[in-house]
Amino acid sequence: MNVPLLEIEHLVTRFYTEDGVVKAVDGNSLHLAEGETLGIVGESGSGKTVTALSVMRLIENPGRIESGRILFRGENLLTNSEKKMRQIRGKDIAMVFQDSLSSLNPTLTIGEQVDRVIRFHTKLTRRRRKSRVVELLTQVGIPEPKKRTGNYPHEFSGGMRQRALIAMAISCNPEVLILDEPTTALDVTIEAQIFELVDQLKERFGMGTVLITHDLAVVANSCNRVTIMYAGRIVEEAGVYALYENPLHPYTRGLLHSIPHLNEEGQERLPSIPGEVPDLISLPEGCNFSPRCRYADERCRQVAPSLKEVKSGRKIACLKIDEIDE
Amino acid sequence: MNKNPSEEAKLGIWAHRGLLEEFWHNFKKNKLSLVGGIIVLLYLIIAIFAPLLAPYNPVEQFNAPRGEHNPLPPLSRSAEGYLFLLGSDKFGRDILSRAIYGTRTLLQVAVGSIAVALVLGVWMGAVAGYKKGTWVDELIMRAVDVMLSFPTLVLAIALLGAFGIGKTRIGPFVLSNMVKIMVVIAITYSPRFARVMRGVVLQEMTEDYVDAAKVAGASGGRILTKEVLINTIPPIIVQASLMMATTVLTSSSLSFLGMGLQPPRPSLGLMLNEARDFLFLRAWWYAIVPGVSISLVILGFNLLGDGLRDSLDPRQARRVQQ
Repeated sequence: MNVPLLEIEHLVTRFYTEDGVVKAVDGNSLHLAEGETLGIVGESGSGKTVTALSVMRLIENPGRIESGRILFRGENLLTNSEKKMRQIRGKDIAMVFQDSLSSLNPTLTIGEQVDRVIRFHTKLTRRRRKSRVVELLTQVGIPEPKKRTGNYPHEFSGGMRQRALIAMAISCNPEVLILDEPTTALDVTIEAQIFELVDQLKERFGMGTVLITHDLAVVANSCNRVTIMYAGRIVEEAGVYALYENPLHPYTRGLLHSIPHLNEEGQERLPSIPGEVPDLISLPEGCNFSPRCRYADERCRQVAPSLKEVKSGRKIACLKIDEIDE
Repeated sequence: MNKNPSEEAKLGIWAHRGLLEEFWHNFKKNKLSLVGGIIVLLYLIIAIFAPLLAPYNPVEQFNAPRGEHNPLPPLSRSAEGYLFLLGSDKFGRDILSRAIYGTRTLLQVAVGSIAVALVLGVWMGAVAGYKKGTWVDELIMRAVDVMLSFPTLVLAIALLGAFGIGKTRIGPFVLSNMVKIMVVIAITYSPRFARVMRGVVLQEMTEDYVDAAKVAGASGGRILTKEVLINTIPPIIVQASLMMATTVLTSSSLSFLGMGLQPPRPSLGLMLNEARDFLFLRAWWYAIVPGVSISLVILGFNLLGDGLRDSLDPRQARRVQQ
């Protein structure tokens, strides 16, 4: 078996705040193959973004990566020097943030900001870089790219800014592209356009993509595999079709049930998961989901389940798996 | 995407309205700040073209006509027949000429000290903000606290007292009196810039574009110099223009107290000091000219600074209004 593109093993990332220790990512493992799209789904604060930032090694004080390994092509990123990491960021592993307006420097033109990434990682001459910027902006579908390079971020629309960010991310042909809720700030039409663009780029350059989102519909459209996170832990991992056809973990079921369906009649209230997301500082004993789970018993409140493979390509962290699985 | 041509053209104009135009558009709405700007501009013109505008040499002494004594009132003539538009001072020098040259030296000192204070303060603040929470930050900011705990004028007098008045030799460098005053004022004001700068850098460092730059592979130093510093310019400009007003006041005060520029060099503060003796006697105009001049330039810089703050940093202006 060949080495996966990106492999995270038992990653633990914690934030030492004044109120206590936030267990943002608690012993998670996942992997990404070449050309594959992995969806990471979870509510706000479930540790999706922290996972991505850990991969980039951009966890800052008071946060710390406690243990685990992050292997990029077999090489552990956590033991790399900061200088080495700077060479990897933006070149081998690129990331797109959700808020395109604040992710762009308001005082630099779009052209300068795309150019910056190329300048960091290549030795192209000024002129070559300039034409590369125009080429990139054309690739992400920005009309009149030559003219637009001189514009400032506030002169772009939201969708155009997100396209520019994607242009920056793909400028050095990264092998891994992490998209952190890339369309949350956009309306549905633009969202569709952006994902269409991402799909095109994936097809063309064959990079592995990690898509972080809380939107299951988005995942269904563009991912091969899905990882569901709850309160810092991965609770379920499955191929996208298997997950939608037969969600196993009680939390995943709750999530899928809380999606409104247009064609369902007679249903008055949208089912929701009772209770609230636990505070990451004072997590419950045992399974994090146990206080909200209707299958939970004494054992669930004492022993934390680990992620186990139940079928091929299908992992779940639940002690009651035999009872749930029909 | 499908816009009609005229709309497209309009949008095109909008898109190409540069940052400067944007700024001017906001700035001219506030009439008071325009007044401030005009006052400052007038003073700058006076300072730059002083030799052309002043009717006489500011240190040349004229004799009072027979039976009269200097200082002479406005619109009177000297024994030689020279006209004093704003009167003469106690040595028979033309007050208008001295005020014009005094404005020049005053602005020289103010601009020079702000420039030096910026260079010192901005870097201290930027490094402290960037190294937030480390010993570097602590060291810089505690030094700043110590300096700020002295009243500005007292600190300036103490420093000038330590250096002595007149030319000073520091190692291989010989500082003229004026340069020395600039440096002293700059030292007393740089902590304020450092504080403002640190705050702005702290705020900017939390912006997403900093993370985005890191994700793109930028190093910390590059982020600070290439990404963050340019975004700190507006608040620093505002701070500098507001601080101009106080440096004008400080340098005039130093001159007034005899610690600043030395006679016979024309200085508005010195003129005020000389005029003090005549205030309640018969020469009220003597003090009016430098007094009004100093007040006006301070007013101008304050109005300008307020206007700049409102138009350069609309976020902050909105916060103030709320």
